[in-house]
Amino acid sequence: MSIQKTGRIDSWGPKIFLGSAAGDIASVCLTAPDKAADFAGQSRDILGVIDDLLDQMGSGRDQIVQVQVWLADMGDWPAFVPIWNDWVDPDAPPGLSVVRMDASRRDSLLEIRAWAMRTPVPA
Amino acid sequence: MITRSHTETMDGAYRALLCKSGNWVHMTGIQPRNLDGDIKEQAQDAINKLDELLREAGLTQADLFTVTIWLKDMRYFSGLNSVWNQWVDPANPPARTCVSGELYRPDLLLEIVAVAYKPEVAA
Repeated sequence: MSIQKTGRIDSWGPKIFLGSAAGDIASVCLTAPDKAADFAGQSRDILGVIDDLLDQMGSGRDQIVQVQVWLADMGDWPAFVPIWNDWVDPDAPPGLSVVRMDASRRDSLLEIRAWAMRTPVPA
Repeated sequence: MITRSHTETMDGAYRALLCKSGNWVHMTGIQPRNLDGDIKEQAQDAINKLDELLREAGLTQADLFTVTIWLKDMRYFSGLNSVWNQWVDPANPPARTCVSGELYRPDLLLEIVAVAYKPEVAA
């Protein structure tokens, strides 16, 4: 089976797909679609795109097994926690790792990667 | 079907330290418990925690597919490696990435993200 990709980006930066899936595993990784948004806006926008793209690949929020969050400023971590907690199922949350990084743009405040299981979608 | 365990929160954020689905086991955000320790003590403690999670899942270090270590500062690299080299099977060490990144607490010197693979034994 080939690799399914979704979320094509062709803007200021690299030509990439944000999501890809093969077999029973899907990955979505992105920075905020609107860098003018504040930290909460960027966080919610990214999580929303993860929802959409996982859905397109036969997966979903409840199928995520691992999330890596990179923050440009660890000072934003306390603001991230309630947004995250609203998004995950408190009884069945995914794994979470949070690390500070240098972003490609000053206005890019965080990047998130999610790994999820899925039911393969027939081509 | 995803099995999630160790769902204690990380600094208030919901997360599961271990998520298992099929042949894959994701262990995300493994941190040392003794944040007053130096790099060797913290590395040993995090690896002990990884060992406990592996044992619980019926796995050994030979089942590790990838290990990612987020290190607060690369100055700790040699200290980490001395503990790592004591732990690994010299004939079959795991694949590992180690990159520096500040973690959510300034006194947290490392965090481990490990993915293991083991074909499920038919019941």
